[in-house]
Amino acid sequence: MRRRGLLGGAAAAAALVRLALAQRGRVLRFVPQADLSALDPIWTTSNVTRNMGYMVYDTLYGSDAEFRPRPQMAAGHVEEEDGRRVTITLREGLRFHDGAPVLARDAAASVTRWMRRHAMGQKLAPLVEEISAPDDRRLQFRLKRAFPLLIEALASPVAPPCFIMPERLAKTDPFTQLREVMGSGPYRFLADEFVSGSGAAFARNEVYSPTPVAASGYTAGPKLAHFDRVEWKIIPDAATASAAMQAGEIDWYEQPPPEIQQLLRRNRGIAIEPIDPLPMMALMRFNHLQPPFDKAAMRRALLPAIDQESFMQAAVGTDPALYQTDAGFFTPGGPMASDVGLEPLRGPRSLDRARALLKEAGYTNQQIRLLGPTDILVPSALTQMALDLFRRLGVNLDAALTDWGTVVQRRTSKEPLERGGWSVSMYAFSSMDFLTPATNPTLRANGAGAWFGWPDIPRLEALRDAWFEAPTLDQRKALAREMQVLAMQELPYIPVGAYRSQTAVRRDLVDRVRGLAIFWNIRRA
Amino acid sequence: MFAYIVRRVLATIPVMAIVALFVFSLLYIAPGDPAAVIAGDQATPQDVERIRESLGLDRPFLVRFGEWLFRILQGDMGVSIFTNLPVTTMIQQRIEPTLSLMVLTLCLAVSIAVPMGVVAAWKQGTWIDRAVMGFAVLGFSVPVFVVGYVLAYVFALELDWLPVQGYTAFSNGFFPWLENLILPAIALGGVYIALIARITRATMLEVLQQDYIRTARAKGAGQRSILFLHALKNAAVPIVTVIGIGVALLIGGAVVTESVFAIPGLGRLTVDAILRRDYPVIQGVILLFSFVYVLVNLAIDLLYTLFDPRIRY
Repeated sequence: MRRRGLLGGAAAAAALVRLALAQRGRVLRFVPQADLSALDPIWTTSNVTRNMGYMVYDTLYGSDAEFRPRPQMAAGHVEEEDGRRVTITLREGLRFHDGAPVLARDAAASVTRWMRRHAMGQKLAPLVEEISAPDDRRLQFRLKRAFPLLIEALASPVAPPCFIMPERLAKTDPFTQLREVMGSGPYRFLADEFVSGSGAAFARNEVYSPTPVAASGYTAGPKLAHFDRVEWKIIPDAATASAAMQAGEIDWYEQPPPEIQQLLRRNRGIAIEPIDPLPMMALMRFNHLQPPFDKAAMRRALLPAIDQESFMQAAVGTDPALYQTDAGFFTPGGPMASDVGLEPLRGPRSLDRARALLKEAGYTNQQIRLLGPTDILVPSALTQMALDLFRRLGVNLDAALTDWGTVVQRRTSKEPLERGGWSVSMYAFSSMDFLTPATNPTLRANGAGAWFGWPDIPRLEALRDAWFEAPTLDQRKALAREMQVLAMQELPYIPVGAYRSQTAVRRDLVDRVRGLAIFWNIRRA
Repeated sequence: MFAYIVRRVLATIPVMAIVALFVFSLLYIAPGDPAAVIAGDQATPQDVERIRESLGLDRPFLVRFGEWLFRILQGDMGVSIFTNLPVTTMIQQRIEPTLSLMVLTLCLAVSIAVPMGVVAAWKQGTWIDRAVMGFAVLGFSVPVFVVGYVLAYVFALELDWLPVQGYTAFSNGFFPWLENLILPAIALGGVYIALIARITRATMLEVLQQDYIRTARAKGAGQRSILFLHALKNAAVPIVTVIGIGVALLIGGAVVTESVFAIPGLGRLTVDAILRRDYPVIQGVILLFSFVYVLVNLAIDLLYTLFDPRIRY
């Protein structure tokens, strides 16, 4: 007996099946990688909230498959006064979900709020004299000097993207969370159906006006919503999500863990594929304030022992298609990636050589504290590999393994180990974060202002500044290579490989946009 | 009786105050920083500090506790750090699934376990008794999540009789509601059935040895009447006590069951809040659970008077 058979007679069941199939065709059910707890995509840099943001909000520019900015809400822009005045004109007919027109002053307020939270925005902010709206359709930047990456920054998909919201909301302090979700994107957020920890629902924005600019890739090109409704279901347990996928209760499971991927592969109706053509990045982060890794020589001593393949196999399994070695400081396949300076990570690995270098660098059995999570899949696996590596190196190791909530607190500690500090920790980042020096937080080396670990490498910061100023892509690529060579000497962190995050989708879903969990263009075949 | 109820209700106030202080202190001592979780990996330490300040997490313990207590006394549980929604709203959104699960489990467990225990006592030493006790051992030994996964595999994946996960509100119809809850209720009820069946059997065995049972038999009373009218009523006090104590088991089990079956209830809300260090939500939910537990105990105390008229308050 089938489930629907329990509900009534055979005729009723057949009718119900037809109805359910018709409804299924118009509804997309999705399990995101984590709970959608916060709804303000500027206040938090959570990727789940960013993905929700791309459904509900629109951006002035999108980023295509080659990471070039392409107009979305913008009709185009004009640069004057050697790039010190940039005027962006909005397309006609743009409307928020409440029917109000999208005006230039909404965009001006949105850009101002975004600028305080986004890595590139923070670089732009000191150069801004004024962001204004001379009329309803023109948004104008007056800069102290040209910022060659202005349009790239507005197109950046790295959290938080520059989403355009009504001025009344965008005037909120970026460190205060908005309660209202009001955008002009291809889907409307159904606030009445949102229950944090349970699910969210979105309805197609019938009056959405897609950009006429043909482009393909991440967030560029026309955004065509093919579903009447998209439902996000929060299922934290991987086995339950997998069972729901197999039972046909969901259509798309964003991030199944490797063992669940193997299970789902056996189902002919489900495809397991990389969510992003580019790989995610894994790294070993040092605390530069505390011994022993306050010395570059001590950090370099570990290089002969780092086997990227082992780290990646621990993270995603032994299938070579799922990971990439010889990974440097920028996402492989991205515009800034190169293999210069990576020689110390290649060739036969040697624990003996690493031990000798540690001794040479002055290691005298000081305690090393490895801080890592046990409840997040890839960072947990990376931490276990690091634990094994340090044990085999014979260092005086203290493993502080705990839940992610505690890790993110403990990593803020700059204290010595005896007062709760840490020495080394393992992380994974999305491909987009590491595409350029602009958005890679772990490559910042401005001491106390840097990301947790606080490297202080003025030359690296100077190269990053020069990268922002470089007017051409070739010049930026050359600077990125120089940064990688320097980073391999100073080691703000050690890259331990790159891996492909897999997603599970029903085979009848086609035209999925690669890169993020994006809900335009995807449709049922 | 009325005075007793009033006294007991008033006695919950110091209990709740102690629970409040305990929970608040525990969360203050426990490691974890919601600001760092909110900020995400792109945030700098300065961003994290800024968020911490905006949430008021940088203020001293006593100031925060004082403010929280003042709000609680006004019926305001505060606002979730993550969702920016009032805690009372979040609890309202989640209370129906948990309440439904607990009530269904309770009904299922009592209606199965009490007859099982009675029959096991009546047929003491037979294969029926051994089967019931064997089931009880199994119920105690197999964790809720294992039972949950097995049930989901068999009845949802293999047979396709029931859905794997989710919850349908009672307002959408009794059968859709039941369809989503029956597997979780069975999974959660296993240990509860085992507990009640064992206690019922043990108490019934004791009662069945009493003189008044022998007298009833001598007067020619039927077996059913002896078991369910004379013996069970006199065995009810310990059984009801265990049912009450078991509510705590259900609350704990609901956390796991709701995760396995993706039911958006208070258990899941608690786990999510703890993992994210969403302090106002954790405090609100634990206060609610402790209040419910105090009320259940009060209800059980009052039920004693129904089963044993000698008890007076």
